[in-house]
Amino acid sequence: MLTTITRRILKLIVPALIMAVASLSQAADYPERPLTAMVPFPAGGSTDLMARAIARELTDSLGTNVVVDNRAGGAGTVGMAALARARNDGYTIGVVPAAPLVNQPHMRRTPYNLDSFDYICQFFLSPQALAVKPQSPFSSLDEMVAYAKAHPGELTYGSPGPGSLPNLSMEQFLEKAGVKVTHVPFAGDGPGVTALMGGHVDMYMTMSNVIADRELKAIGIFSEAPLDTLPGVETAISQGYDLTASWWGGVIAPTGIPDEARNTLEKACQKATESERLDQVLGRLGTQAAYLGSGDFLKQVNRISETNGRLIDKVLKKQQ
Amino acid sequence: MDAFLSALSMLTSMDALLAVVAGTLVGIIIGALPGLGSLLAITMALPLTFVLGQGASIALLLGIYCGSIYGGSLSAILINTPGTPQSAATVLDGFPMARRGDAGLALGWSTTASAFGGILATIILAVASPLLAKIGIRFGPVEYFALGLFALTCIVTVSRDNLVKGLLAGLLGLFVAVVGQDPVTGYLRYDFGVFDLSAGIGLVPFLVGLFALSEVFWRAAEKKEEIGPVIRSAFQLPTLLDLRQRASVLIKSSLIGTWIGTLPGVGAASASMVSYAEAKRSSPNKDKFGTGEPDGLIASEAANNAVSSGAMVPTLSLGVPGDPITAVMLGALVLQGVTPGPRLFLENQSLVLFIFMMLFVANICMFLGGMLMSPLFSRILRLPEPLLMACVVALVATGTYSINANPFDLLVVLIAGIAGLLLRYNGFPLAPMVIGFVLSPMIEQSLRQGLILNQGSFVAFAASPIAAVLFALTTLFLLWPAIRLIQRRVLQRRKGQPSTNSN
Repeated sequence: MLTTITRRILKLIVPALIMAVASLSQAADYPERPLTAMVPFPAGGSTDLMARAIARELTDSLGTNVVVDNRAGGAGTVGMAALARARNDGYTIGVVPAAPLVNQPHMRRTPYNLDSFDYICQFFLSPQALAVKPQSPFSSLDEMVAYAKAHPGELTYGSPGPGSLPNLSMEQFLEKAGVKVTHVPFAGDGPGVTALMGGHVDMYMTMSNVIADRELKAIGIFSEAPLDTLPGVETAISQGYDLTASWWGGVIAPTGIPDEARNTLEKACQKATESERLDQVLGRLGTQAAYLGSGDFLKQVNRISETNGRLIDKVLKKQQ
Repeated sequence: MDAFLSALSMLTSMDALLAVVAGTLVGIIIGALPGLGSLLAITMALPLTFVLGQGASIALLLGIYCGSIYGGSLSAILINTPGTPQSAATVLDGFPMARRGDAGLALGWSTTASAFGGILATIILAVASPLLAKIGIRFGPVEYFALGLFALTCIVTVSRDNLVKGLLAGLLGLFVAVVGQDPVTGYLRYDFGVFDLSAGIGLVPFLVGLFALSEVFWRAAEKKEEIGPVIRSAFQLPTLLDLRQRASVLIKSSLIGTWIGTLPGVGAASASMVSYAEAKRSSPNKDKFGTGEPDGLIASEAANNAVSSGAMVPTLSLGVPGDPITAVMLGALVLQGVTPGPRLFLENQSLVLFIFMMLFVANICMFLGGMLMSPLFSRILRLPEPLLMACVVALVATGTYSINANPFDLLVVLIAGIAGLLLRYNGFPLAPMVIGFVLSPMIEQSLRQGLILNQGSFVAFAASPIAAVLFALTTLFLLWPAIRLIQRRVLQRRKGQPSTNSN
């Protein structure tokens, strides 16, 4: 019994040793073993499905397996913390949406901050839009703003949670428009959208695809250009409010990974965003491939983190 | 008719049938293992759907969904630990039945009730889903709050020995769920600067520690004066006469489950508690609840399995998942190129029919699978106790860890286990704590949303007709013992003689 176990262990260890020695002699070939892609949300959610889609593309172009590892909890912060703690050898990467990166550190004490990560690429982006309840009299942002000005404290809007991206972008919009609308946070889009359909809130801010799939009426999209999926809905910019807002995310790694690994990953990521297969999966999930390289991605993270930090201080901390 | 025929041909294809049978059996096993729940079972199968065809994928997931919810009742009955959170209310009467020596009958009832609930819900779903979806969206925060409050009354039911201790345990449960991020302001509560606490206490580690681990501790601490009762474990279906007598509970619980399933975000765990509370209110055997009364078992199991079909209503017709499990199902459907939503019923009728039929088949598989497999599970009880307990600890630990690979969850299991032992030792019932814990987020969030929407006014809560009915039911339920007492006094005075009926 014991000998069989020893023999089995040896069988595992010896080739590993040989490989280790071999890799020391020629450390140049990254990657030489499978990668782990941590996802800070549970399996089956939209972040997970996108992570699996990009993992498949990375697997193909890197020539080694990229294995998805879900670490859910705490609005994504548990997984982010695990990623920040992971070894920075380039073999552990994270596929993450924006919120746990740019929002949560302003809301709670997280064991990570923006400096804990290397930014490899952004690969998806989905514009947000503002939906109104069925039989709502509003058909444009201006009408809603005018009503809110005339009837302060009457309108309500829902979001998928306090401090979520839609919550903050709506507050940013309201700040620009100079009106006050009461926020009602829900535990995710499921209960939130149902409440809108039942007319329990007047408006609901969320990702444009959520609105398109449910055939809800939207009065403004927060993107640069109108979307095919929401025909007839004008952008906030064209309605005179200079504001864009989206749900986005990308590939990151614990800070200080080897340059070679970072360059290889960045290239693989760019190639992935050009692939039709990825585009199709993202399309089905209601978002789109949108590539930003390492430098631009970092700039965007810093910029939005600053804006959202200010909004969180203003909106959430004031309520206490 | 064309849609019906093409759905039928999808159904009878070999791979779909194989998938539903395999899914159901695997689901039962995973559901029965404490700590491993429906969500884990379905997510484990998710990668398979990349390879299987559309029909087989959906069949597999539906089978696992139904099987795992039923499977949870096996461990609830046999080892006093709900295999899944959905079976938390099954423990209350299921385990006392098994302890009494009626394990086989308890399994028989849970199997019958589960299958009945699932099938009835599927039929209702097939006929009325567009209508049900419309009723579902009438539930706003105010109505959810009223529903949560009503479900909370089952704490009174399960703490029959000592109401004060039961209420304290319930409050403790409500409180433990408060740890973590505030659902309205996003502020952290009771995290004591510990990062892992900011994510809150997970339901699975909490439940598993409180029931399973504390049971292990308890048995280890117990004096071995008597050898544990030898439980006759043959699977025993209830007799037809029994079935007829309890048919009203069966039907009512299934309806409650179906209806609650259609409400997004409520879920099977709460549904089985609402149903249990209602059965306790109305069953002719209500005084025996908590001591091994089949009605309690039926109420819980019929309802939680009805939810699995009911939850497909908002998922398919609105594209809004009813619980985390259907959220994963929704993701899987989307990957298969199916977009749930109002248009699905118009554009892809045959697929909708196929899903209904598959749910039907899955429930039949579950019934047969339960009959075949539960004797196997009840054999567990014949294992030497130290061995069984060691297995429970190992299963619970691996099961909990496998979900998030987070060591903190294991710490929660341990602490909840010790807390459970202390509570038991001091005569506090555990069930109210779980009831409080499960219902706490729904009650808190809906109450605060309702207050925001009504400018802080509580009066507005009674203005909703649905909520008013629920509030009235809750009040009636709580005051019932007092009303009975007054009634009896009045009767006694009229008759002018003391009553001998002390009940």
